[in-house]
Amino acid sequence: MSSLLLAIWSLWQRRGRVVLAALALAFGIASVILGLSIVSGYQKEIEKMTFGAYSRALIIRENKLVLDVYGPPNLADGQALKSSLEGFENIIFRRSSQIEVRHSRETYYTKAVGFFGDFSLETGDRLYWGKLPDTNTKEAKRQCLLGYRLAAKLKILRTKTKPKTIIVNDAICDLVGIMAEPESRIEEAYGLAVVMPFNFLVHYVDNSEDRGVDELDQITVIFKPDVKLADKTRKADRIMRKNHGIPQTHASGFTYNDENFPLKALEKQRNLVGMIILVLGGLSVLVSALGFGVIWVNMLTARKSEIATQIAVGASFTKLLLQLIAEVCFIAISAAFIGFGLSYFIGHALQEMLGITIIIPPIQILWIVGFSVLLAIIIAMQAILSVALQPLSNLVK
Amino acid sequence: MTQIGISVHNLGKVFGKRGGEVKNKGVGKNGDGQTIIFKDWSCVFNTGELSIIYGRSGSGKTTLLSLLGLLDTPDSGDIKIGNINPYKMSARKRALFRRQTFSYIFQRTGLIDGMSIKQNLTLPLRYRALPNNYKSVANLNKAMEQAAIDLPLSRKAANLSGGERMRVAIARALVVPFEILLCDEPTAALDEETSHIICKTLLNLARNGKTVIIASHDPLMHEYADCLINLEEG
Repeated sequence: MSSLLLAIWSLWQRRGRVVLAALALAFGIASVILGLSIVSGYQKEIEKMTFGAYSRALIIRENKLVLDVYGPPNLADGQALKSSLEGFENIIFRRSSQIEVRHSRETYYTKAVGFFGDFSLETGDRLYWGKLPDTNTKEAKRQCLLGYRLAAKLKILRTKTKPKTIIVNDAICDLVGIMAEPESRIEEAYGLAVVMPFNFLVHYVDNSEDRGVDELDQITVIFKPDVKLADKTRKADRIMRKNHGIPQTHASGFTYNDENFPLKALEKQRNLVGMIILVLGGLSVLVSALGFGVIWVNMLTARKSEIATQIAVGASFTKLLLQLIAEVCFIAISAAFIGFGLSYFIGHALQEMLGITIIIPPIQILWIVGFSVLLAIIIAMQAILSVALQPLSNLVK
Repeated sequence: MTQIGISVHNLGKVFGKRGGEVKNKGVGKNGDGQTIIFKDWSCVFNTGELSIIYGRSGSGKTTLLSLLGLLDTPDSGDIKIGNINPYKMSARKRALFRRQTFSYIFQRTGLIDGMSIKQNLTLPLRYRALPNNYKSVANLNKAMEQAAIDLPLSRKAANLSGGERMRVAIARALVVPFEILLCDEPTAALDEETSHIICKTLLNLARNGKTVIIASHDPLMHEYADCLINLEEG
């Protein structure tokens, strides 16, 4: 207890230098947290803008290059995939159809997309107005979500009071929302579309007579991060072949696209930029820890006679060491808090001013803070031992 | 019969380059960059006596005090405290023995500037498991009275004059129990009247069974000494 009290007293006596030492370390910690947060935000932003959830998705479609004897994917395939595939986050069924959409005197020919499952993972969930339609239900709910550009074509984008309904292929549909202006390739694909629940599309909107009600255009299986897509593709193919009676000796009736594949170069570029930012952040932590060490050595040198007095009047080596370690730990932990606070505020300021996404990943931050504190303590320990292990007569002189 | 407080036998101490043999016969610098402070030096300090070590600057007074007080290690020879040779103990045991046996008054006082007089006086008590009466204000006042201080306990050490600092340092040495008191120039910063008071206090301690060893070139102290040791004569 007396070591801790003396540590607090001692720090208070040198509060100016203590603050300086803590700030030296805090800036390093802040820079590496900020670097990591920018990389995380950048990673998320790239994924969102370029790949969407496709970056970790398997897209199953009919293979048009083989003889049309196996048919397109269907709802039963989806159920089989759900029960047999592991490691997925969501499975979305999609079917589209050509439609005529009318509102007031405006008519437009475009496509309707019916979803079963959480389609926002695929299209994004940014809205200009209203809410998303309920596509997780088996009911044929008459709910429509308009693409931003389609809403503009139908002249309902700028109106103060939004219409309650629109007409799609002569079927009345409740207008529940309008998507936000597209900002990515994926969102652009839905700019002129009407999104609705799958069962409403197949029962009331799709007039094609040559397609069964369970037929799909596409099954999107979104996997959890870090799942190996190649393994899952083989498993999915076995399930699809079994459901459609396709022997292994024949070409598969389905394609399994990894939409992410052509964009690997961009991903590499992203990783490289991230690595550079992290290396710079790491270097700044190292420099900060060294700066902290220099200030600490300076503080200890100035305290040589005080340390000698403490030993001479009865302080044991252990108690003295405990006191000095307590001081270093206090400064380093304070620096960690200051560094975290600094990075939080600077990060938010950057987000506001530059519009970049900042994500602070908590686990990595804990590792960084722990490592920085440990590094500072190790550097400081060298100084502590070099002073404490000197012959007492040297300290007294 | 007089009891031996500290006995020194064939003490050798060299500063400078290590590893070489001490070549010259006497004290001083040799050709190998070594400064020989002590060579085959022997002496006895008795319990209940006030011994004064004197000599010119650089003659090794402070070094001898450091060696006697276990703050430094001799290069050769023996130093025994009573019948105990602390240099045969482990470093940990020696440190414990040092804390229980010695009290020091440093030439530069060793007061911690940021602390008040009271905090400086009670600093040794923080590190020792002593009965509560040692921590009492009465004990502090007694030590201050012995050191001829009449200052508020709350005053910061940084605000004291040289003489006041030395007297507080003396008081700090007296608040804890000890067997041997080592003082390095205790009267250097004091006026004559206060020097006499301090000398009487130190002599009184010796008469009460303590071993008091003082390094000083102040001739005023010589009249109080039971034993005078001149380092210049070897």
